[in-house]
Amino acid sequence: MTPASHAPVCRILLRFVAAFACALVLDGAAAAELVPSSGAQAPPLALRDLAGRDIRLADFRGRTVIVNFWATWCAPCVKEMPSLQRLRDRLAGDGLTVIAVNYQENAARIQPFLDRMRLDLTVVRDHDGSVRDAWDVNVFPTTFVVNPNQRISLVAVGEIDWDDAQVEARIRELGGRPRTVAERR
Amino acid sequence: MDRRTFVTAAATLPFATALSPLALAQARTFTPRPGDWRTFEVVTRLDVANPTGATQAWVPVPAVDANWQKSTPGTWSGNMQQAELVTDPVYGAKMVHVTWAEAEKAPWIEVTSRIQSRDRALDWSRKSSPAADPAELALALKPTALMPTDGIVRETASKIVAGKTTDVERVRALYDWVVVNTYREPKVRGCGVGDIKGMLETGNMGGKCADLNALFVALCRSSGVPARDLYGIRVAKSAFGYRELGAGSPDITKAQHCRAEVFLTEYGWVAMDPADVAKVMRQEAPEWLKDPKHELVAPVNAGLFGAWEGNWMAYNVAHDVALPGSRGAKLGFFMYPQAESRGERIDSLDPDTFKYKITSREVPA
Repeated sequence: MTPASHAPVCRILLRFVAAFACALVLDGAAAAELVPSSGAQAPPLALRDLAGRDIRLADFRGRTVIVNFWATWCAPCVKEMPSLQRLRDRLAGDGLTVIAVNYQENAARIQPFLDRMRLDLTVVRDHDGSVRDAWDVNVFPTTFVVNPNQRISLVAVGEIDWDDAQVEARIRELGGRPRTVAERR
Repeated sequence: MDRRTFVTAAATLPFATALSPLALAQARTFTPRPGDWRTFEVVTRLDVANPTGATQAWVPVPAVDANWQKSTPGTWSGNMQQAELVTDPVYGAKMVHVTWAEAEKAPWIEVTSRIQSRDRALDWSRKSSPAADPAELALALKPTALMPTDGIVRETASKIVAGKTTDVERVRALYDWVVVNTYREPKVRGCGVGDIKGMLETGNMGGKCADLNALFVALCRSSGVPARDLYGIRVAKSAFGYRELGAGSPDITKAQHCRAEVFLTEYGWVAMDPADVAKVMRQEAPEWLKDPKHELVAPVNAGLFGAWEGNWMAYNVAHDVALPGSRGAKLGFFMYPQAESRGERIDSLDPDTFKYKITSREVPA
């Protein structure tokens, strides 16, 4: 599956402008919903985390992976991240991995943010925006739920309450293998 | 000062100080006129913070020579392994490409460029048949990755220019449409992304110069009028008192600004800047001025259709720029210093963590 054939999945997405997503929240509009996707193959994702380690989506085949596109300047992204981490903590032993893809910010900006927010999510840097292009993301936050077969099962454009019981149930349904020893490190 | 002048000033001053800012705005003018050349020296200093491996950088330098700007790309110094002046093969953008040794823990370079600049204004009453470079005009009609000219862009342009019979009328209609239908969004990072298709599809018409002027340019191109964005940086204050249309201090690190040009057969390349009209509407006064006929906006709205001030330095007109020596994605446009460490791009919109600083000073004649 090429990024181009994946594109229709996300063509409904809105423009990449944080202000728009911010406006949704500030205006009191309903939070985003997890909606079913067409089941397209997930585009490639191979980036480095803040420690310089290579993180590849393909290495997590067999687990459910939440791929969350975010930036520190995006208020709805910042708002949902603590609940995303709590979901990761609850389901890590039940087959869930979370990869938070930061859009083009410097580690010197990201790490203090994570420290301040007390977040220890796996954060990778989309340093040149090419992964955002491949995944056709136009709004932050946008989150893809990739099933153990590396197909996109669910997508959310905008902020999600990851503590919501129904959200958790839909992700649990996807299942996933336990973490390997290496993945626990 | 003669007696008549003194009486006028004395009578006016106490009254003027009591006027509201909006009332004072009624006295504003914005009439750039080609005059004396001014010389500016622009220094770009990069200190790549926390390099993680082999590091390289690309510093844009002015590459535009016209009857309103003369460019000298400049000189540089630093602790680099190698530095060279490189020219983009498609658009002619110039940059200093610098590489540092992997062991270098504190890479830095300082690039000094000079331009001569002056106001630019078109006399609409004087038609001529200026020479045109066919290749240049062809490039100014082509779509780019972020500026498609088909689909919703063409549909939008067609509606706007319906019934217009000359290129001047079409450009006027497109300029007015951008001023009325878009707005300056201060929250957008940098000068914006320039994703004009996204703007039209979502109806979210807020942005900055790289969005609004790119939209104008793409609408012109899809209407068959050659047009181009010029990416640059403000180097001095506005001579007409508009705070938002100039650099507020010698530190111009965040003063990047892009303008536009259209090619009109009877006039040649003509200055345009609807994005700066939008900036005045949104930011010049304490309140958002939504009427382009407002006394503060009207002079700028009229002036920037065919003229601009020489308080700005153009770097280039480039799109889809492949940085030499980089395996990273192409740049939609090239207006900010770029760097990579261990093959990863550093956020060019974050000068504080990058780090870089750009300063400007006028060199006395």
